[in-house]
Amino acid sequence: GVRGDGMAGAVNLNSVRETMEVLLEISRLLNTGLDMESLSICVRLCEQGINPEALASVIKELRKATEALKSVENMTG
Amino acid sequence: MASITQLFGELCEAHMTGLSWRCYLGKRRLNQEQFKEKLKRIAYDALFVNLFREEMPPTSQSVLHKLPAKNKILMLSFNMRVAGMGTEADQLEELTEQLEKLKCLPESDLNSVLELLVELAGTGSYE
Repeated sequence: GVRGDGMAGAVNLNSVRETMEVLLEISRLLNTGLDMESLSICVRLCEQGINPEALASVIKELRKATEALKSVENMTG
Repeated sequence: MASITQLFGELCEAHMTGLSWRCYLGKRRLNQEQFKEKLKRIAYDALFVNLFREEMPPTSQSVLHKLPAKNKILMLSFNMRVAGMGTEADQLEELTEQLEKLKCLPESDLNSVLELLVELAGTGSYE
């Protein structure tokens, strides 16, 4: 689930939710492959000052590592 | 406020959803915990490689590197128009404007998030 504990506490929840929805829609239009869960984790990492390019490469590497497993599953599944 | 290590752990777990654990990876049976550790190592390796790359002098860094993310988004929407995806391009531009108006995130954080989305643009699979 999405937890808003990374967002500034003073911001009202509706605007946080709206922001996440807009970001998810932009993400979908750009075909980034991020779902809401991954996106919200990424937003919180960006808030913590993690470099976005480095983060993007982390995600690409994680996908590579899990795709190997997924392809095995598709063969057996 | 979650710690960075905790967030990277969550990111690894998010990438593990939907995987079954009765399969072999490189002829070696891995359980969930071992696989998560493996993913974490991969994540941190990728992170550090990039951090050190930043320390290096920019040699062949393109002009694009200097642009704020919003300009890159506009370039992507231009590309969409050229590819005949005018409706999507309009949507993308509208949403980006909307995001700025919401003022939910500090500008620098918002720029970072958009930068990330630009970096990952086109890497998903439309299934």
